[in-house]
Amino acid sequence: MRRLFQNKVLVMILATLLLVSFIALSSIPGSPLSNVTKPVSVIVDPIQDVFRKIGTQISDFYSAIAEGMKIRKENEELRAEIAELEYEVQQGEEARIRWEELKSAFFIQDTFENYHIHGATVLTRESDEWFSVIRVNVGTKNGIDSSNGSYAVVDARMNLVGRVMTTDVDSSKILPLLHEGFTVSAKVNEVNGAVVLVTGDVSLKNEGLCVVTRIPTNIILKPGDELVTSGEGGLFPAGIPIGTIESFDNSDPDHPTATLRPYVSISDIKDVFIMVPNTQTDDGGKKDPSEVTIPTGATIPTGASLPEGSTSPSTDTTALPGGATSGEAGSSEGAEGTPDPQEGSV
Amino acid sequence: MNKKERARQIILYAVYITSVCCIQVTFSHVLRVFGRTCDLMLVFVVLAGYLFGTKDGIVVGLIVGMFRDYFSGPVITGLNKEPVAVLGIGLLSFFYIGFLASVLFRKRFRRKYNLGILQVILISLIYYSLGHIVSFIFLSVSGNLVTYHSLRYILFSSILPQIFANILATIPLLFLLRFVGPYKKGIRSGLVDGYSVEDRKWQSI
Repeated sequence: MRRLFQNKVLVMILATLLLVSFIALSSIPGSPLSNVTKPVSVIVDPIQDVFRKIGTQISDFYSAIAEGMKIRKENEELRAEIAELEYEVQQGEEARIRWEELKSAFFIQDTFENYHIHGATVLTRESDEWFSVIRVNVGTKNGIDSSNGSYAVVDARMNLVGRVMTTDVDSSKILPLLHEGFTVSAKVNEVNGAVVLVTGDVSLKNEGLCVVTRIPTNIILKPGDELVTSGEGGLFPAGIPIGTIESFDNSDPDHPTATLRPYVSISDIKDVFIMVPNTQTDDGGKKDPSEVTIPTGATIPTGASLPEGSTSPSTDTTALPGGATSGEAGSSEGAEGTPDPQEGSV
Repeated sequence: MNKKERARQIILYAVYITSVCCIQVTFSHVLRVFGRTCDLMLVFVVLAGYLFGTKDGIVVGLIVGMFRDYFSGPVITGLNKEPVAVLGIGLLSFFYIGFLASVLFRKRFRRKYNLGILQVILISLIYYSLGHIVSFIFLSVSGNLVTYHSLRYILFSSILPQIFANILATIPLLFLLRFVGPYKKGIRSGLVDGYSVEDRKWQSI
């Protein structure tokens, strides 16, 4: 037996067969092999987080030195701006109360009120062209579980970033919008806008573009036209901004295509928000859907604001970014774009 | 190898592997040269296999491959157009990289340190060329290929800049493996290569 294992060729063939079987089994949806990474995540994630924190501290330290004068000047400007904003907040608060009254009276629903929004920080980025998913620091411990279906991921301005692929205890893998495996049904953001398909593309990825297909033959897309998620397919709620049309190619009149520049720049993004349908996270008691869970250590991205009554980001709640802040909890029925996470990706 | 040496080897390998993998995926934006991220994981596996033999190459390759799968494992699109996160592609590729680095030009290069750079160039060329070929074939067969990179792009904007970035990553790693470990004086004593022990004395920078 020992002599058998001294044969390098045999060992290589056996190992290859074993690894190929492992790959094949792991690619089956719902395979128990996808849980193999869970124990790894318990050990590796804290170590990786240490590296991330060290990196952040070093970069903050150098920024503080290099940008000292600039920061001081900016600070003065910001103080003036705060005074103006405080006045606007007062005005806004009155408007909000009026809006709540009208909303109850007219049974208006916010587009994303049926979702809990979990804030997350990007932990790791791509390793090379093929190993190009990103990992964020929320997982099953935070109520994100990919076995219940995938979830939409947005940035602080509610622009589409990607979707959750797999979850571990403390982290999750996100498939970014530019990845060639990513597909989303979209529509032109206008009344009765055409429904199209936005897909990541290998050759356009490096230019930060996606390809738009299934464009109805009678439609001509213009550069600058905005595309939002259509809500078809159930994974992504309708109305999430994706990006704008960059170019339109009608050389094949039966199959016109276009390129789209997403609003989100994946390489610059540091924080993301995961949209979990209320039905999945409600465990007895219902949470206010406008709440955003910010994991410890995560920073609040630009555009996200604290709700009334919150004291600091560390209190774990903040208002939903992008303006979809209020609404009654649990009123999922009849809402436009209410997703069924068991359905497909489009 | 006595117990002390074995412990030193395991500890140093653990520290190297963890650091190399975490640094690459956490600071990929800092490690960018000509638009390509230095592939520290690949370089480390190549050097471990090249300098310290098949056993080290394969074991380090499997562990680094597992980290690669865990951190940023590839997503493939199935025939039903649904993306699937796959585990094991990193394991398989880095297993082969570790093995290949330990056997390729073994007798000609004689594990000389400065030729490690050449080994990194060769393995990078093989890995990235095969990566593009496999990716193209897979996308074509699964019917998910809209367009693919031009040959010019693959050569001048993907493979060559990546090789250059990897060369830059090789230099500090070579010094680290030579002067810090995992083996004293950067030489693995029990390595059976088919040439005399005296030959290995010229394993120096």
